[in-house]
Amino acid sequence: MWHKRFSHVYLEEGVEKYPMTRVILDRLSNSKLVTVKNYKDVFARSGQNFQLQKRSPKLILARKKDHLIYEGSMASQDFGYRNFYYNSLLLNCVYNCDYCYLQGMYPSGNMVVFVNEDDFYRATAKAIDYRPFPQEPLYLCISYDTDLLAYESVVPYTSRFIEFTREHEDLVIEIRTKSANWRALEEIVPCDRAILAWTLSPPEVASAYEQLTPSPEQRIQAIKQCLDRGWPVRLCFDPVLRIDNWEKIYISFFKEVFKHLPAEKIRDVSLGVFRMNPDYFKRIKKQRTDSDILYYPFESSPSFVSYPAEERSQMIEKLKDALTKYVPAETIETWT
Amino acid sequence: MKIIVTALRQEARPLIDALGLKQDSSSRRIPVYTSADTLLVISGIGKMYAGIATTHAVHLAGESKDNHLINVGMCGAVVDQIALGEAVTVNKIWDHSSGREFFPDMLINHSLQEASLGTFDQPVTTANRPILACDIVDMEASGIFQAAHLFMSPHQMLFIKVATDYLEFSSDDYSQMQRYYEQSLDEWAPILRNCEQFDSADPVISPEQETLLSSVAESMRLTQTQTHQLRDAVTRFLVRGGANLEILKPNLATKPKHKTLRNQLFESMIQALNK
Ligand code: SF4
Repeated sequence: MWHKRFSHVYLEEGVEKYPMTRVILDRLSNSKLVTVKNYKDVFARSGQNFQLQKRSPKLILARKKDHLIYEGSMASQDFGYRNFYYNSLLLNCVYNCDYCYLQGMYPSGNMVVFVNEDDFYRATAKAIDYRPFPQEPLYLCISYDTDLLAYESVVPYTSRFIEFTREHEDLVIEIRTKSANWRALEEIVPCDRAILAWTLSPPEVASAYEQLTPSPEQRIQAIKQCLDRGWPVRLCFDPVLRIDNWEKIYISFFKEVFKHLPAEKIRDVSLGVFRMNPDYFKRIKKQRTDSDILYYPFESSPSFVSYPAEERSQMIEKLKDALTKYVPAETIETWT
Repeated sequence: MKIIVTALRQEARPLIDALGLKQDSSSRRIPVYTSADTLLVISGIGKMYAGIATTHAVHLAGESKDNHLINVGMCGAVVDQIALGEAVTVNKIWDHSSGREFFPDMLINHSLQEASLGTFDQPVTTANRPILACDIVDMEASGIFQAAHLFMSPHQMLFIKVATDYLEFSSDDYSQMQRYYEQSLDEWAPILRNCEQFDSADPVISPEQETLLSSVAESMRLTQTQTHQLRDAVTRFLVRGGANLEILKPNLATKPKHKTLRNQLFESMIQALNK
């Protein structure tokens, strides 16, 4: 009944000339092509149903005309890097987590790929040259509002950005993912300035709330492969969800993780509880009533919706404490 | 409700027969035919009339997330890949006069070939071919899309067109064109019968539970914020497998005399739901 994922590829006028377009279309040779003057005519139509579209998402290839790099906000996870930036190579994600803020941020469940690769490199190189703290590297998250590595087999941005990073000494990139696609990096020589940041959740969370993602075991195996090959790896236990028995579940999950992964090889760990921009949260709740985690009695402040302050600190305190059994406290960055 | 829009009587007739529709005599200016789950409207030629008829039809059917709007009709084929008598679904509508483009969502695989469609204000002839950036042409679809989009999502719209000419025809060809259209019916009419109810999943809170919620909120004189909080707690309770809302019923008889008591009762009700 449903069309396959990416059954249709919408091509914004002018994208044919970019090499990335050719690469993607070669890999999606069975998709139907539809031309569009401006990608927003498809992506930003009013009244779209995000979750229905997720059942048969389409790909939109477009050119990003401005904002090729963004400065991170004060609230971003900057890991001590003062030149903190991110970019948007893709809009949306192949996965569909119940707690994902993209549902409230984007008007569509379809995915956009910006194919003007060289413009992104040029903007990044310029930002490196003009970074506010020249004695420190520029820190760039390239998988910020998406999961770049998960879609590497079609859109090879991760590998290409790693090569770009290798050539730019003052650049550190973070590639955040839930993917198990370590094979996409198999042929690439590890780069110590390309941090692979894996989001891990206990099986109880992953199976209930992280639709379409690889299982935690598969992610752990992928991490192991990458650690063995010498990649710098960050583990992100974020967002921690206050499910029934959360404490027991997360603590025994940490045990499981570090049974398989050599803790001394982990570069750092990020630990954060569920939190979301209030406008996005409101929009998501309007659209869906099928996920209990969105209906927790949260506390709302002008900047975010999250668990009540007391619960947040309790969660972080207990889980940080549990993590320090495996990794030094100073390598754990927390978000409440 | 299925809302079918056709431009011509000839396009509507086979559908009226196949779906057993009856004329709604209360709609005098714009012909409307209905059954329990279908409303068909005949717009007349041109996108302005098509837009008006669409609005009229949605108004009669009532706005709903479960509505499906289907435009069916004859069209001219611009490209040879589309055979005469072939039915296609439309993945893009280009309005020739404004240059704007509209995109219905292509979520369901109807097993028909797809085409891009140009809507023109005037009949299109072969002489126009070189300037046509589309596979087929008609005179209504962009008007229908724009009108319908005010009331529904792009995934609720489906455009089915049957190629009946290659932009060159005279009145002598009309009966053959009608035959092409009617013969294609078997190919696409099943789509109309089996329109998927995308949003038909029952709401988490049933209408009876909604009534119960309102009554509890009223009898306990809950504030607006408390009513929202109660709704969230009930949603969470039901999604987590809570079977019924019996635990709320005792509160129906409660009429707290002052705020403090009301708030205490409210808190214990929320706690019970969140257990
Ligand atoms: S993997 Fe991340 S970006 Fe993708 S859906 Fe899940 S939370 Fe959102």
